[in-house]
Amino acid sequence: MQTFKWLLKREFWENRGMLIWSNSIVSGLMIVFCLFVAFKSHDLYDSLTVTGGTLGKAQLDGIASRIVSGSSAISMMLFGIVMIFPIYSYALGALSEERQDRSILFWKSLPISDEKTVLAKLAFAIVAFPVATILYSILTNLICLLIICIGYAFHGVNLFVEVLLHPDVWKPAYKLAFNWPVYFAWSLPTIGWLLLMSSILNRRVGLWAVLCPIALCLLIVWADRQLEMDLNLRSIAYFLVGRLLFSLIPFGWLWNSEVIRPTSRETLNVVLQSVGGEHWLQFQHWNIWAGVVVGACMIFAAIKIRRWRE
Amino acid sequence: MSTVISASNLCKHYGKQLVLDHIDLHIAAGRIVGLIGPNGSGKTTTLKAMLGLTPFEGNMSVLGLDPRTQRDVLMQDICFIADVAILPRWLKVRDAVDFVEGVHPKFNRAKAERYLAKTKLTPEMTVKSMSKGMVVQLHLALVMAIDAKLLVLDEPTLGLDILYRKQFYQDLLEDYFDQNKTIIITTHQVEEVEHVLSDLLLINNGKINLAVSMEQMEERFTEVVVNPMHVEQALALNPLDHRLMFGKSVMLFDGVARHLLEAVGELRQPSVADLFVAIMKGQ
Repeated sequence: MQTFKWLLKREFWENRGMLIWSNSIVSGLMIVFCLFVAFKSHDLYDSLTVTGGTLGKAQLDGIASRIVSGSSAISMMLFGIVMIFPIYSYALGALSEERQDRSILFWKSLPISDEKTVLAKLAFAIVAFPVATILYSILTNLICLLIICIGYAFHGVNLFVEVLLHPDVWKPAYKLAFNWPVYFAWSLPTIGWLLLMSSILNRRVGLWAVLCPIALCLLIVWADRQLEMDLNLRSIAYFLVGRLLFSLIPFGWLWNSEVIRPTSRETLNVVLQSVGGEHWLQFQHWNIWAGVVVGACMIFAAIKIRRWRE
Repeated sequence: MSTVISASNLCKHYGKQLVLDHIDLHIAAGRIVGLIGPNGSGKTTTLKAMLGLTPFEGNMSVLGLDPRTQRDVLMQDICFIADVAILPRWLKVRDAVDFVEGVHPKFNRAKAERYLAKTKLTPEMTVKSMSKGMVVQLHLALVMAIDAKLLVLDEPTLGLDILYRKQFYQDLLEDYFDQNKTIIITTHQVEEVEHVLSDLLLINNGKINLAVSMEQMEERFTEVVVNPMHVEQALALNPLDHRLMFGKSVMLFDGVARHLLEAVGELRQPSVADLFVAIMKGQ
């Protein structure tokens, strides 16, 4: 366990930048935007002038709810999207960068097994990035809400208590944490594929990781046409390209054609409203389990390959 | 004396090319062995095979274990410095010491810190900001604090200036080496290392050409600055090598009796470099 803890620390020291940079920039932009909305724009306060006079508790609660749910949703979504690029980048470089700078010979000179190393990288990818995202999201959200409250205070409305103690500030985080196992199981094929490619290739890992499944898919489509095999091409494309490459995107399972087939706007609503226990229903279907098995096999292969490559 | 490394019929193919050609070797405990050879001779491949970094055919036993199947256990008792620049650039001195302490059961933190105190390294420095020599100092500090039975050094002083090189071997011998530890060094800079070695392994084209201890080398090989009058006589004794230096003939003999050689010229001890060149030329 000691070794595993140190391996996670190593991943953190090595990839601090990835966790902090993009999140900090987005955080900064959100806060600046919020300052603009609170102090420069008047749209926010238009409703106050309409009603006039002092506002009752119900009205205050109403305003607070609107502000909080809007802000929390935007914050979570924004940081969720921003998480996607670093996490892909990390997984693609996880096993290839140490070979490129030859530091693998240092790591291999220590009594650390390849299993622990690869599993630590898996754990870091699937835990550290979401955790950083959630933390940044909550913190930025709180700061933005504070700014808006100050803005409202300048207009004579005290919303501090209603806003900051609103459950919706914390609920999204809790719900995301609750649904993390679904995310973990769903993302295994992609993360396994990226780690596998990273263990095999030295350069342009991303390029090959994307090209191979697409090329295979095109080959199958061509074969189907030529040999008139009448395969279910949509399903094949979904698993070979969709599941393999895109499963790291949070809530990607909502595009699961076997369970839900919503339009984009419906999906957005589903995500925003129901960040709750419904996602565990995915485990009822074989899709996610097949992904777990395939992902686990690829990670096992990556471990074996790392053993013999240097 | 126990055997630390033994290999028989060690072979390695890279595609069709035979890089290690049925190598047999035995290295006893407490020795400092120099694995000397030209580029492409198979030195690094031999070391990598010993460390389980590369697959191979044949038999090899390191500290009683097979590096192919028992590598994780083996690495607890082996330390390895591959090349000067292999520490990751983002690593801080403090983090490096913490990491190895947390991961290696035989790491002694006090020793590492004592060694680091003698250098110009500070805990907050990153490898990125260090010169090559300082990176070696850091790596050596980590390695010397580990109580390993076998230390493998693959061109450890490559690209370092003379101060760091001298200090490297000095520290290694004085602070680290004891009778229970074995060190294997590969290097091009034969002259620098020959006074440090207790055993010699000359390798070329994947084969071991010579495996002797330094005492055996002194007994077996003799260099003679031949008296110009006795050159014919000397050539009749079958020298291993014959070269001209400032107009005089210098010959290297293998296993020829001293009294025969004293008759043809002035005797002296050959350097490992001269022996190495002579044997290479003979190939």
